[in-house]
Amino acid sequence: MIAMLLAGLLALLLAFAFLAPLESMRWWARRAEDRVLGELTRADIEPDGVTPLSPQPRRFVVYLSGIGAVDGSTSSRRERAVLDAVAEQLPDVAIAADVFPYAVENRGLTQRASMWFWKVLRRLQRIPVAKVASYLINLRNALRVLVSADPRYGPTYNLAVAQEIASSLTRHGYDWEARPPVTVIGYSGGGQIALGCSWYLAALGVPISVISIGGVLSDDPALQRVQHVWHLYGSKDRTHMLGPLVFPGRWPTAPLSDWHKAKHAGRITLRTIGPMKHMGGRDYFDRHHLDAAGTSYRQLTVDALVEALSQ
Amino acid sequence: MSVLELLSAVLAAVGDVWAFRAPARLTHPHDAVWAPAIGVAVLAGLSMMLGNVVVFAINRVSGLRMLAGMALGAVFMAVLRMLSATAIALAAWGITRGGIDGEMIAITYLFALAPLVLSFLVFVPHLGLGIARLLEIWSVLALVALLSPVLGVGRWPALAIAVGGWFLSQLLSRLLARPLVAVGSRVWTLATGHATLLTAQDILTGATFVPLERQERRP
Repeated sequence: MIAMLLAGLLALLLAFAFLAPLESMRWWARRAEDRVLGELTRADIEPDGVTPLSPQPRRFVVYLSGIGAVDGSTSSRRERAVLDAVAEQLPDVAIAADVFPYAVENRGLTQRASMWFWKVLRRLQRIPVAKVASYLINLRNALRVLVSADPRYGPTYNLAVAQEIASSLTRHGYDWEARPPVTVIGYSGGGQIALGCSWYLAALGVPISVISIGGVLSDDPALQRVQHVWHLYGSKDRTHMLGPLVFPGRWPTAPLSDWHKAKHAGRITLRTIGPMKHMGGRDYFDRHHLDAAGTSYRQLTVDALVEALSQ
Repeated sequence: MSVLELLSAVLAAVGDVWAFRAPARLTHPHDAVWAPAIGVAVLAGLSMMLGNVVVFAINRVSGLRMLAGMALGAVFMAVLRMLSATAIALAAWGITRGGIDGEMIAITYLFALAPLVLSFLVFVPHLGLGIARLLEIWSVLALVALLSPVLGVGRWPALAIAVGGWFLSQLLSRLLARPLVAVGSRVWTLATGHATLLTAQDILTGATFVPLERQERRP
């Protein structure tokens, strides 16, 4: 019985793994190369009726949620509260949080043929007893993080998400002539995807930096192009340690990898910001628990983000 | 030997090799030993092709052109494997001072490809690349386990033959890399109608293959 259960789980895992890269490959196969690259430029992505903000904010920020997200429009209230607090402290920064980083074309899980399935799982996320089933969302999205980090699939996947980030910037009034600095903040798996997309955004001449909140980061080639990476993590967060474990380019045996080169060049800052765990209670967005100095975990995260964005 | 019998023999051999046991047909050879050995190699080859079908998808190659490309890939792979087998036979010849049976070495080598039957797992994002390396190591260890009874030598000489053969094949492939890549690229373009966007080097180094440059705004 247990053997059959394990075999079933393995089969499910393999099925999810096989499906993971197909979406971006199909996206890539459908498009002409020139059109894809052209769509990344201002002239092609500027939607009707949106004009650049004037004066331009000092910096634009795009937030990519963690692997528990189901789409780009229904971000969690806790994450939204952190972004609002950052916006309050930095009024000269424009923040966008409408990109779903775990699919191409910003198509959330609730915007496809299998939406009923994902909607059920999303509801289960809020029921403690049934929460295990909702981990399928995390599994599905975690595999997209591996797709982003894969040298075979990553380039097309990251290109597709970069296109959505560029569109989001335009929707929020980004001036592609002035090109003010952009910071992509990624929580959890969003950290790696933020890094992967930066390659293409930097290619557009955008001064790009990345903030990872407990992110699982690989030695992505984009590290050659980003201005700076801040990796913020909690001392009780074990998940972010998957990055240095799973990605050989981060091992000490690869001193010439993009990660180590960027680190030696001082373009990566690793910082413990408090006693947070990766997810659930006591995570980066928790406003109830306090550190030894009496500051809530949420406030610690906000302070660290504000400090990084102020540099 | 009927198709079912052959399939059964192939699967039994795969199971034996996975467990580092010499297949019965290898230790008690008779006239039907080539068929299951070739069957294992074909199964491994098909699995590898399936795992690498992504390279075709990324290069936007489909239909008949994909089949032609896969056939080309199979030929290319067979040449490389023959190179490895020759290197191992040379190493075995050196260590046993000529006391080898070339046919048995070839059959052993084909059986030792059994771990590569799982090569379709290379498709798995990111982890697939690591799985590919583990399968290659598993295959070399299986070769060590099989060479020992076939050549009648101990585990250490068998290990020396397998590792020596591996080093020799690496040396040969390094020496032949440039002409092979030149010929391979030309034949690939003829077969698929596409110049490669993604090369083996790209995959190994993790370089981004889309030549993206900032484009000027249209007038």
